[in-house]
Amino acid sequence: MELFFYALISGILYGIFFALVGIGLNLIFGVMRMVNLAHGDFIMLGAFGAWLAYSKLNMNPLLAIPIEIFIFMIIGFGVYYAFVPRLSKSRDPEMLSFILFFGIAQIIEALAIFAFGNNQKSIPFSTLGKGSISILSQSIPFSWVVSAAISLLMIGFVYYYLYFTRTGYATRAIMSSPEEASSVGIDVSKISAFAMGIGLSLAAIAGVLAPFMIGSIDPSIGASLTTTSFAIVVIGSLGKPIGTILGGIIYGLAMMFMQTYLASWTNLVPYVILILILLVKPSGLLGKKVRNA
Amino acid sequence: MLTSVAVPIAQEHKMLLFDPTGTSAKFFSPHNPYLVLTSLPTSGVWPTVLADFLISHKINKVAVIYSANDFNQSQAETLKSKLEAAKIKPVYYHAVPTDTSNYTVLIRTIEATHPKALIEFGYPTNDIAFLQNLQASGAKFNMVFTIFPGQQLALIEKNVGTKALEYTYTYPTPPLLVYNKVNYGMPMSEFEKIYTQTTKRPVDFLTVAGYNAGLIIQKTLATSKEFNQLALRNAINTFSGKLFTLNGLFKINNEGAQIGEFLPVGQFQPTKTGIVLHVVYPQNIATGKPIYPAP
Amino acid sequence: MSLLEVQSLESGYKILKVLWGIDLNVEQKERVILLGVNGAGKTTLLKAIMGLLKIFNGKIYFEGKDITHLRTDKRVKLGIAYMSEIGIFPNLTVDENLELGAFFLDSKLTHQRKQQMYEYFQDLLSHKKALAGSLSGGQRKMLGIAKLLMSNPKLVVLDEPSNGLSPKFVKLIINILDDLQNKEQFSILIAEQNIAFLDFAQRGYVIDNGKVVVSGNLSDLKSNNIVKKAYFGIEN
Repeated sequence: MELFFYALISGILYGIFFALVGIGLNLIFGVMRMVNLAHGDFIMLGAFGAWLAYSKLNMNPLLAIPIEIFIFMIIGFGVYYAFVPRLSKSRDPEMLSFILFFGIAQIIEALAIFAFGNNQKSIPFSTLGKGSISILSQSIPFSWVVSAAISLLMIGFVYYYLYFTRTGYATRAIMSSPEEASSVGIDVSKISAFAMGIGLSLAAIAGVLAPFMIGSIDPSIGASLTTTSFAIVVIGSLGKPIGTILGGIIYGLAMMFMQTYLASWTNLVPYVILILILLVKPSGLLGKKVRNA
Repeated sequence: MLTSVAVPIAQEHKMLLFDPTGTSAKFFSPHNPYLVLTSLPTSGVWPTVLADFLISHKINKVAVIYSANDFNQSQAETLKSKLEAAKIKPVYYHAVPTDTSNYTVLIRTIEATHPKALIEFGYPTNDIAFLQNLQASGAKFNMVFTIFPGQQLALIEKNVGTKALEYTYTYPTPPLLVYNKVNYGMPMSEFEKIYTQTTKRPVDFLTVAGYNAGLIIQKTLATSKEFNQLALRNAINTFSGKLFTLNGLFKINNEGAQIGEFLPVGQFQPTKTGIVLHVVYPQNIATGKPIYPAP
Repeated sequence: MSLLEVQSLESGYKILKVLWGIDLNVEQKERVILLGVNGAGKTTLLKAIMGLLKIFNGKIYFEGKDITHLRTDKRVKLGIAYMSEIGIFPNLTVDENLELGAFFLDSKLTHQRKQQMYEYFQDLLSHKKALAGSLSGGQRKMLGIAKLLMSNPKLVVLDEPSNGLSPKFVKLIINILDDLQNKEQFSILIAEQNIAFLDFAQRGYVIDNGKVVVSGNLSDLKSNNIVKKAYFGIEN
């Protein structure tokens, strides 16, 4: 029973972090209908940003968050204006966006190897606070609690942005239909570019926390993070950013319970859930069929 | 990784392949004379001494967690069968995916089985994650064993910190393990001096293995009477078992697998300036006594 | 000077040309109807006027200003409001829909307009927090119209507001538009196949296969053979 509660609590904390890992991908997909296959690589870059801050500048890695938000906002605008309008005009935007972002992923990984080498890098967990904290009489590493709290805060910001600001309404309007959105006077490009910036920033913030939740980092972690994010996003509901929280927590709980009771099968979990959900409810757990006509 | 690709290519083209550190038993077969492993025995042999250490110290509740790959699985299986032969049944014995990067919950699960020793077989990434999570979890074990601190100490220490390695056990390899009997090539002290002078990098096991491969190839070319692939292979047979390098005895079996070396058990013990790796078993080469249970 | 003037407009989708030289104009405070069967090019014309499609040839002027290649959101800011057949954002609440209807207005004006709209459409007020997608067909059209008027437009462009509604609701919609137009004095360009809208308009165009086949005031249209045949089922 002790183990059960431990798996439950750590699963939820781990899941909240993984919701943050996936949410940027979902936001970008929702707004642009493009799957950012380089998502995991942006997380990796965010992680190396935290590592640089810690090991080269002797900063608390969490202080990298505001700096990374600024940098990745700019990168997001750059990526958007450089590629997306042109892609949208092409004959097959979905397929071409796959190829484009796959290419970007490869380039980022290759450049990261040049810059940081192939070896694992890590940040001591104790930089987020020493020791452990007791939740329901289970002692949980303090760094997990801090990471989950920051993840929750960031998801809270996304929620606030989408549901309580006019730009957020406009973002959701674009998710519903870019054409309708421009018909009420929304500058679709500007808002979409902003969403791209937010999406990449969220990936980078997840990256800052990654050394504490995922473990050591190296330039090759991007691809598997993209796959995991994609699974989480689909489990929740593609194109519905808040559904990602549910997807993340289901993923986290499944991982932790499998590790506790059937460790060898752990890696199958996200994909088994994914397939089950695609069979039973293809629109994702929170997906609703909205009549569009 | 590369070895598994190179072995069939070499066999196909009848070219002798010298491999510095490939350890999978699957590489070797009696039908393939074109493979020579220059350092490290096949992985299945590695935990032999470790098993003896556990048995002789009456550590009879052992937890084994290993990454699901050939290299780690073969070690886990050897350890399990040796322990079971001594009537010790592991209290926890599970594989995890090789890309496991978070062991926190696993460590908690293992803790619940109250083992007297926890053996983790993984690749360097796994060992780093495991040692980090172990430290952060605050869980205490009498004995913790991992593979790679004994081979790539600088990398692991940089990632997990010195504190996380204190009192843990590993397989010591050169340069952490020094062989005094050397009849071919430089001894460790000399090699270490020259290598660091020229490259400005520290020596680790892989450097030693690379140098050792060079020595074996040099000796082969010097010994062989003819310059064809099988003659080279036969030349190796003439000095196999007689050559002592900084990496210990070079001896191969008829499949080309390394059988001269064995991997002892070492423990990182804290000193005033950091940690030092003492060979604690077998006794005839021990440089220190094991501190068990870990304080 | 006409409020909206379309000259020899050619447009369509990617490489498919749908409109073959349309001439059309809407005057201040005028109600103009655009008749045509499905596939005649009504929606394409409205989208071209809104800048949602590429213009191959021809010109569009709004208040004398050339807007042929202006971006959609900038046309909206000039005072053209558009209600597509969907007309609302189903995944947003009623209140959020209205808020977006006046996206470029400042928040004080938006608030005033919203109060005005809730006054006009009491039914919407009681569904303020409901998702637009959960409304009934008639309520959706009300919301669409309210959202359309949020920005205080000079010209409203409607694409088949009667689509999917029962005759009772069609009548209601017509009454509402009539009433609001009298109050707010905007011009209307409305695309329809429902002949009930004919009496609501002052002037009209019939398009077929991407060309204007008939145009004129109400009596001209009613007496035209093509219109009679197509819409009243009367042969000569």
